[in-house]
Amino acid sequence: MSVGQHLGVAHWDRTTTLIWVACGLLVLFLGGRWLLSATGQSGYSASSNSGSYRTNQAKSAGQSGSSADGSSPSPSESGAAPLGGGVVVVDVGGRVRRPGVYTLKRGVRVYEAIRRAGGAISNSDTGSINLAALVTDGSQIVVGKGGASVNASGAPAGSSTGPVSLSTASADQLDALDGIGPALAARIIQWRDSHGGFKSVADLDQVSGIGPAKLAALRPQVVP
Amino acid sequence: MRLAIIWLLFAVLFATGPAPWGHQSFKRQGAAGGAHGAMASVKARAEEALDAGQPRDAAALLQGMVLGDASHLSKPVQNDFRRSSLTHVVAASGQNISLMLALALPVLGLLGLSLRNRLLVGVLLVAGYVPLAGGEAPIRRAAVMSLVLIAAQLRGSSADGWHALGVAGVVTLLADRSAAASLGWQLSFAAVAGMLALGRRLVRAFERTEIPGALGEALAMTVAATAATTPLIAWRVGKLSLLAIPANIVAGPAVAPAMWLGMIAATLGQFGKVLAAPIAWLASIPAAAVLEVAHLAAAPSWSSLGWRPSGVLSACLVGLVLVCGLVRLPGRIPA
Repeated sequence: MSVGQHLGVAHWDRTTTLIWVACGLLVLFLGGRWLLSATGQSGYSASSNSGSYRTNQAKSAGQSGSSADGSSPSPSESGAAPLGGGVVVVDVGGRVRRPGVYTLKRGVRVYEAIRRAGGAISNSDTGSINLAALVTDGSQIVVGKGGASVNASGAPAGSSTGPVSLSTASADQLDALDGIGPALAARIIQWRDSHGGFKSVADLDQVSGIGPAKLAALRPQVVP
Repeated sequence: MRLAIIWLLFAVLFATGPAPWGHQSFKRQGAAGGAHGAMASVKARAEEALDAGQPRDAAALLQGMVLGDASHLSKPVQNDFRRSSLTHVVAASGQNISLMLALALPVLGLLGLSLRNRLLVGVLLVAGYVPLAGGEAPIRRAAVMSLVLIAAQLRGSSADGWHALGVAGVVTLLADRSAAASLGWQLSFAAVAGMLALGRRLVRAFERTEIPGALGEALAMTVAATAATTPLIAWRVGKLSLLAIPANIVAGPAVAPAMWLGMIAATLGQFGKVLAAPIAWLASIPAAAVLEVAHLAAAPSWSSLGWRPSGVLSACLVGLVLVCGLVRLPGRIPA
């Protein structure tokens, strides 16, 4: 309301113009910065312009070998080209501040890798994770809300941390997915309980609050 | 006198309702009522229009800003917003409605509508927007408040913010007694009260300085709203965001253009995605700026401290903010 009044009666003197120009430049600068870094972040899967790492990960887990967008997964994603020398490449994801693929010195421990990714988000639980384990090249560390898992084998895009099963997932596991908040997670569980479970991912459509767009976004992240 | 009755009624409703720290109800689904089907397809087209192939979080932020649904954002980004106290940007609240009217009323004016007709169309826009944006407690509060202010203008009397806020409080509590327990409603209420109390005084204080009007007002309102909501966030969430005020000030100039362009794209999207795509792309530049601010403000480890004051203490702190704005101190300017 005050904004409206102001647009109507703005005094268009030089100082005001300068301030608007400065605001515009600030917005362009900050926006440009984010857009460039966002493109950079999703660069490890150059074919996909989806900024979500988790989605890329799940995609490559579900469709390994027949990549839908017709590109070969990059080395760090497939683990096909282990690095020699003194470094390991590790994927730290889940409830950490800065999930992503990190190149670390060989011999670092899991807790150091999590710290490198900005540390675990405060209410996540690292109790079930072996923080002292050595990080091996090509491994994935996922910190969860109700626990954490380390897929420390060389297996790429580990199946243990891949899509979430709709039939067995807890509310916390669903909540951790992109596009699902606590309220929606509760409704999904409610639907599962009252309809005798999910026979296919498409059943999600019938949960209130999930439309075609959200279903499409969730598809790579879940299995029935 | 009328003001006192409204606020007394509000106090009674608030005091006899469920405990304000209780769990909020999920009344969201019923809110859209019989027009649910039509509204859902309008919303689906708007969502699609806003997602024109930009980086995913930029599209998700636009959907959150315009439609009030933050769940499309990826978890790290949601976390950035929480840490930098910018979450209100992706929630449907008073900001959405005031920005929508600030965009629509001048546009309708350009079309040659009289003030009266413009305001009447504004009423329709508000009524249509509430279910579209999820129809939760904060947006209902904002809608009632803006309708009271519009009604005052239609009658030709001066619109009083406190009166409108009181009516909005009474109506939203009568409609859903559990609204008082929803953090969104509490924050939206406190933010407006802060702007009415402390904000106006800060505007007057800034007017005496070299800071020009528009900037002074934006700064004053941001500081006042943040000051009034921070104790509530600390109480309910247990987090104190130290960079809340600078983050909100820097993000400010990006929020309005992102919201406006997003709303235009969502409107054009009702007629065809092709029309909307260029606007949605343009909107993602200010949206990206908001994301960058959230990211930068969330990055330092000290930007969010664990602190959970008791309910009484946080209520006292909110009260202190309001008193700072309302009590007359001759010759003093509260900073």
